[in-house]
Amino acid sequence: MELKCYQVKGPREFALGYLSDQLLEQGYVNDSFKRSLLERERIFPTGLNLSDSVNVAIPHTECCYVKKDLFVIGISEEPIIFNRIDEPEEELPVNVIFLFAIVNPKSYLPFLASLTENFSNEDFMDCIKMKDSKKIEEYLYLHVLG
Amino acid sequence: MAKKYFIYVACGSAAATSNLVRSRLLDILEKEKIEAQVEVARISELVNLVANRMPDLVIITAGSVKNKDLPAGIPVVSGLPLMTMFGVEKFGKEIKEALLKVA
Repeated sequence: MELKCYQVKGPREFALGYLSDQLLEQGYVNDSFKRSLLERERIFPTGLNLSDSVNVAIPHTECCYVKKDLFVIGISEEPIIFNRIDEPEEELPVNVIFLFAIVNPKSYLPFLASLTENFSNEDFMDCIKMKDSKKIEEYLYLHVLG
Repeated sequence: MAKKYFIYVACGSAAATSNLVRSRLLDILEKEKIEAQVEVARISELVNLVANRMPDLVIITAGSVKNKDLPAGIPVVSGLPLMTMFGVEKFGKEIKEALLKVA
């Protein structure tokens, strides 16, 4: 699977909208993807607190809006406010967004499993903490997509 | 013979997240030699499903259903450790204790 990394800016809807627009322009998703992604994030937030200072978001939506697989990373210099997956009322400042656009729901699961398994890896956590897009990309190619 | 438990794992769409947590939960249960049937559910249908089928344990991986919405006595545990991979051991202990309390 291909991987693309983008610099994004908050607020949350703006960042997710920007990533969706990039995907649409390049033919990875159809024009309902954006609305569905934003709506799902509003109803079921995906902010994850991984350790004391590392927070990420794993927004996703139904596979039917996806035309071609892509793993998208959004990195923001300034934290973007998401809400917690486990406590939807609580806010969480996030600097790194992992967005899988995957056609086949069955192939989403192993990627999500592989990504989350690596949340316990210190090197990976360091790349995320440093918001280092090049290192995050390298790590993901090697350990998640490889 | 040991009791066979019935567990629900619920998330927003009963798709990726709950299935991932389900498969990691099955690994833990196997290691602990706990026999259980584990089904995934959508948060939106959880209250009805639980009232109808009375599982021994409910694990939630997205959103939050307050215990008060579910029939009394059914333990609810956050499945988040199986997403973030932090606190997995504690999670294992927690579900084991919750299941042991089930008559």
